[in-house]
Amino acid sequence: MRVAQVWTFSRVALSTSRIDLAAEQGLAERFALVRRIADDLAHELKNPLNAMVINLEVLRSRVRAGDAGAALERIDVLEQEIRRLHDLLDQVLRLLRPEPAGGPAAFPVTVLAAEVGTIAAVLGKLARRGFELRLPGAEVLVLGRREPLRFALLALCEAAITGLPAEDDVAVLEVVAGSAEVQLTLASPAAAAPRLQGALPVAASLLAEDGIALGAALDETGYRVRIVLARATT
Amino acid sequence: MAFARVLIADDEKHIADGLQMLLQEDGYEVDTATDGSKAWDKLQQGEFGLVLADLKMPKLDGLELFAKMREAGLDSEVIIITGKGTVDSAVEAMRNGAYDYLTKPLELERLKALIPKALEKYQVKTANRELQKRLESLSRYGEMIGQSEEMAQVYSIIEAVAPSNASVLIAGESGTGKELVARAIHQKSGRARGPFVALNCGAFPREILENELFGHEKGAFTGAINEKPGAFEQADGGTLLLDEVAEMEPDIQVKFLRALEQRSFRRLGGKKEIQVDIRVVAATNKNVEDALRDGKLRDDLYHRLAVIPLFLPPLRDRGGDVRILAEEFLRRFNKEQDKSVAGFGPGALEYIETYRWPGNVRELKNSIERAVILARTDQIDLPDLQPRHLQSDDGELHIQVGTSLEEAERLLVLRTFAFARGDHKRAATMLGLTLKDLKAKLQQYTK
Repeated sequence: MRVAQVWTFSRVALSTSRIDLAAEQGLAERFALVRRIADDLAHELKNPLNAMVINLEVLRSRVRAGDAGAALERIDVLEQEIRRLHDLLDQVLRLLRPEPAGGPAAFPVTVLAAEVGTIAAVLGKLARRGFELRLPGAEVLVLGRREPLRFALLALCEAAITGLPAEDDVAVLEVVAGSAEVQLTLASPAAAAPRLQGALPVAASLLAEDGIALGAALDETGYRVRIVLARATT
Repeated sequence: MAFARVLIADDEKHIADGLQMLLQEDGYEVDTATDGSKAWDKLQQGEFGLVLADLKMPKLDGLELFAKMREAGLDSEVIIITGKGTVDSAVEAMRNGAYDYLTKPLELERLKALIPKALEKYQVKTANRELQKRLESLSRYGEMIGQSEEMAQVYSIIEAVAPSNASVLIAGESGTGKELVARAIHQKSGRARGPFVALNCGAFPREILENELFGHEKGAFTGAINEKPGAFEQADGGTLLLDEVAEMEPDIQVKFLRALEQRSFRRLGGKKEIQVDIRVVAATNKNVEDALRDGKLRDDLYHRLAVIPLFLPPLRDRGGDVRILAEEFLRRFNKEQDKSVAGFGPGALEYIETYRWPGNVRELKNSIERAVILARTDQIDLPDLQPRHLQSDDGELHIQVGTSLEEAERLLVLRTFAFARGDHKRAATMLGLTLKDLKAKLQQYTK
């Protein structure tokens, strides 16, 4: 998907009273989101587990047959599946047991985006829709709070994926680092706009407390939501 | 063999590959597909006895793949593999004919136990389908002639029951060929080398029937100067056909039932129990329910005889068989009578096709035999057919409710043409058609 180079964002602005209301709604939405995503992840956990059960049986048979080369291949497969299971479990635990609240601090947004990307890929797989994550080559730090950003990104990614009308459509989350700020852009075809717009107030309320800007733009190339964060150096 | 081929449809490569290796070790031929769409392509390219399909797959999920297979008439067995959250969908698939479902992570022992059963089911289904296809294409089966759907079903039942020892009760109007069915059952059974004995129960008075069935000892009654084996003994090691069984007197039915159940009996005037190994096929032209209600056929005897009930359709319900039979009888009687009648004249075949033939195949056969003998030219014309038919032609046409408009039109045109005794002009006038249209329709119907 081509992302437009020049485009104008209209800032998603909320009044103080709306922020409070949105925060209340946001909490309920957040619980609902956690439940939905946890269900999907729990379902997906069965795949590496299943692969391990099957390949363990193959390994047993190869060892019995004295075929060391084939046995080693199965061990590699088992290692990969253990890693996948570990990553998924990690994401489930993060969702169910978020980090304790604290003030803004520097954290690697690329790592956070990768974690969100892992979950979004599972959501995409189950919904039979495409999801792509584009990260810069190096780790990028930003200043803010990790958990509100994680949930805002998850809410937006889920909305973008489930809003995609066709199986070949793809939602793209891209992290672009500038000298002073870092842009997180979620791009999707225009058809996903209504679903994404529905998720905007929740995301905005999660980010508003930290004064993080959230913008959205619709043009002939699609619908984009952008979050702009202050870059941190250490 | 196709029935030992398994297709694994799963987008998880490690799962698909691992399963493939395990099943190959067990001797199955296994292929894999990484999504439902690719699985569909493979199913179209080759035959698989079993598909193991993951419920959640890109392009086409397991349920969509299953639905598409059934829609296209592919009847490979399908086992759906599902996560716990989607079990309801898999159960629904089973209701629609999927073989089973398994939840992740797989219990491999259960999977390995299910696969041979699923493949066996597919093998049986395939064998039945092939048999059905073969039977449907047959215009001849034993001494029977006909390739209508109704007769294909009869052939299929004969094929299925012949190897067993089960009693068969054949119900059908007079002249439908009940004895031919009984002979076919005998010929296709393990008793084919044994005797086939037919006895018409309606043809004898009570005392004689008992004698015909069980035989007698010397001196059993006045005139019994020698011992005589009955039909039961004559059929030992073979098949006994009892035609018009509902005509048997009630007290003979009791004796017959006893002999049937114990496979032993005594001759009239005899003291010794005679053991026999026979299969009994009974036939009746009566409505069995009426015979039971009126007490003409004992309930217990009916249940003993009708282990396999077989209904033989009347000729009027056998679609295109009338024509096939007419042509076959023409060939047969040409040969027997040393004649060279080439075919049927205008109106004759149409008459044969639309007449109701209350005497069924026997009446048709007699009619053609007579026509061949009487034919004055090199074809059978309407007047050559039995005069009784022509004289009693009331100009009526019976069409079953549910007959398609196309078929009803065909029958109406043929019947009218026959009623008009092959006079094109008269038939066209009666039908309100042009002469050209009538000829075109007749050509279309009789080609």
